[in-house]
Amino acid sequence: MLKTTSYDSLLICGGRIIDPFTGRDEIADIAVVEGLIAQAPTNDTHVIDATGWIVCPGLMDIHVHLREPGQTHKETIETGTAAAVAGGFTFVACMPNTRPPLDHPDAIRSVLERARNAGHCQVGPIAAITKGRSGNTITDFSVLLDTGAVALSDDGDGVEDDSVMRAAFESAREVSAVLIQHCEYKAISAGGVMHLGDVSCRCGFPGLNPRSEEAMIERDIGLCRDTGSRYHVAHISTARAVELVRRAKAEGSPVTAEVCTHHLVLTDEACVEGDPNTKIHPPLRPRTDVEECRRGLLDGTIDCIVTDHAPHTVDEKAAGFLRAPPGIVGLETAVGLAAQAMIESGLADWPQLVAWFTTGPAAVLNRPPRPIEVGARADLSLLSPKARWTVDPQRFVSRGRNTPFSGWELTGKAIGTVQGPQVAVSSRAGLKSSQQPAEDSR
Amino acid sequence: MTNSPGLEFVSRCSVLGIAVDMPTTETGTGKAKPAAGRDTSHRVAVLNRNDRPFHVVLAQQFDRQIIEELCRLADMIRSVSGSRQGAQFLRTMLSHRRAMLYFIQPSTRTFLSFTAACQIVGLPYNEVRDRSTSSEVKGESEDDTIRVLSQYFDLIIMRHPAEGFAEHVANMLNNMPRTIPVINGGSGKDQHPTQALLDIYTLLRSFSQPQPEAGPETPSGSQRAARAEALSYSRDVLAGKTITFVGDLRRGRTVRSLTYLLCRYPGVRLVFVAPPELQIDDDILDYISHHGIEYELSDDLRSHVGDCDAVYMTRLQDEWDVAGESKAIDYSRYSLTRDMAKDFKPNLAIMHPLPRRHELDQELDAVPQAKYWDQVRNGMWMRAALMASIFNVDAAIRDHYHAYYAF
Repeated sequence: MLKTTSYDSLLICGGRIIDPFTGRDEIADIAVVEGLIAQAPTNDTHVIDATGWIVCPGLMDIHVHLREPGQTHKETIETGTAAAVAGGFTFVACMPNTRPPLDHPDAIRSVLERARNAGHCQVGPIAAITKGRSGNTITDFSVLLDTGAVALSDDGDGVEDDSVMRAAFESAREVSAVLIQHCEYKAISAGGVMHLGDVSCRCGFPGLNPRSEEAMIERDIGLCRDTGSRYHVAHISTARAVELVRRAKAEGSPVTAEVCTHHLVLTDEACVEGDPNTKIHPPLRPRTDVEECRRGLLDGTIDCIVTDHAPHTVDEKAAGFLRAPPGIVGLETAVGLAAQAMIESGLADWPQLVAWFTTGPAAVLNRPPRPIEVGARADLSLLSPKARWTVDPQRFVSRGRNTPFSGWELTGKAIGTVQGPQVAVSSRAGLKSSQQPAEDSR
Repeated sequence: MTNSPGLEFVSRCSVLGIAVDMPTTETGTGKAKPAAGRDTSHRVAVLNRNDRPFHVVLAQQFDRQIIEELCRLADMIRSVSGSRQGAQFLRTMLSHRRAMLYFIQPSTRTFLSFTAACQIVGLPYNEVRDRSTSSEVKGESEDDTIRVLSQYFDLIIMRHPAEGFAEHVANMLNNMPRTIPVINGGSGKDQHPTQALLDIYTLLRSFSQPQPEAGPETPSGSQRAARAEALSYSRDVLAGKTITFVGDLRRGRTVRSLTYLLCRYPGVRLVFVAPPELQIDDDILDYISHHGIEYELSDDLRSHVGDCDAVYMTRLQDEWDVAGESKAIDYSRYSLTRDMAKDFKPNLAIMHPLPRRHELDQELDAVPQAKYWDQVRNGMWMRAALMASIFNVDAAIRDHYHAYYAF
């Protein structure tokens, strides 16, 4: 359950302000008056005790599936954006593999309108690269962007046809659009349901050849270099793919990449018991790939962390590993999992982690910076880095329960968000707050 | 790899001029594997294609519908092969495929049952029966040996001493660009699915026939066809029947595998008669209870003989003794003797996976209830049916049967 309350005046006390847009990292109070960051609260203010918490610009997840229109039994824009807020996100970019797909300005408008009506967080629709996501004919990028699309992708499928992809790059350059590619040649991955390797040989599930990912990245990087048009690798997952992006960046090509939280914490060993909630595309990879993805984040090869939040119903996942649709939900476990992968392991600190969820994705989508400064609209996340909690899918705000992390103990979680005058917290987050005069809190 | 002497051996076609009608039996062995595997759903899923067994590794892969289809197909193959024209037709069915019999655990009867079955459906085969002649002596891993074999052949039939090895091979082959099926001809102490299939085929045939069969099969194709047509495996012939397993049940894998199949038949009643120290393992009893099948444990054969609809005898598996502990057991109490015959039901089916010792009196061979020689021959037909089914030529055989043999 998500609890949302509006306050004319708000004081967030004693939190650690981490603002990667400005490099600020200090313990301080933040006042929000009438939805804007202010120097000081008014006299009759609501106070949130943020001691021990992190207060940062609202987190962004640029790879989620909200399933609306067409698959509202899995998730809706309302439930998906509520889950985003419960996970600390104030912006999500949603993928166009809905039914029908988001390949038309009306569809983009409809998503934006539904998101506004839900009122939980900002939604940036990603429009399809090709009509019907069929991979044959490119859509009208300029109209789609004008309507409010934030990027282009056929996510769920890669654009396999070379001439179509070439046309997409050229068209995207004209309108300065970002192409986000789900890198997978079906001809190479065909039939695979998990990573092809020792573990798939052991448990018998047909292996999915990792070349299917790497080959498409390799082609696209070439096209990106030729056209100079922006290219973003969705859910990168193999060591070789990370190395390809690293080299492309070194050459100066405008390439960026994202990694999913689950690809930072789970290996293909998780699939041996045939739990359909470990069936994900791209699949869980061996340890060497997981380690390279972490390294890629640390050296800047990978720009941001995403969830690839992909809700499915319990019945759909009950079809067994071979037949269940791939994908897991991730919005509400993102912060805890990212912290386990990057902070508990000693590889990174919280300011870095926050950057992978704020400045990183903002740069990928060319979104304006949102520093925490006086006069700006409040757009904040509240994180509790020390909170230990157990993942219980039954308590997810999302309609999806499909997670392999059920029962996991995580350290670090999102408390909620502050967007304008609205404070939204997940009801189990244990918000410490009180209504008291401002001067008393000092 | 191709120039290794081991693989030249593999590639050389073996010519077996041996009569095929030899007993196909199991020296079934072994202690129970702890996980009888209630939760085998994902293990079964990767062995099947389109919900039908592709790799044949676990008895749990076979549901009632598939068992019944295979029984009918085996009957048809039996009928069709009775005539020269029919036998020639069957030999064209899989003449475009090749099988590898990888039998590195000693076995003659199962091996010959499979070769006979291959010959029936025209499937050319090669064999490896000794690892010392292969590249494994050069340090090649056994996994790689199998991968190499999978490039030459279209089916691997294997018997291996390691428990679970056939399943491992199936899983590995699922990850090869060219996936070929594997049939488990007995792996270690745990599973022997083709024996279970021939056993249930024998049981179903026996209960489906109005009169007990006397003497050898008649060679007339038309008579056999008429009889096969008359058998209806979809009828609930096992409901209300009591199947009694006798002997060394702890160490016999044939009983384990057959029990998995019998659990598909609600209403069947199972009795396990064994010396207490050789009684069937709890994991199997758990599996039986889980499927709602009624069972009884006993150590007294004589008191059960009159109630049985089928009695499945097994020999003492003393090769698994650690210190000759079974010498102390009076196994004569678990033997079926001529003087018990007066208590037999007229339709009783006496079964034995063979080889037998004294637990099955030779004098019983003459009684109409003795089904163990049929059981051996049923195994050959069932294995032929299984191969036809794996390669999807079962429909062609059914069409041929209905065109020329059915009335």
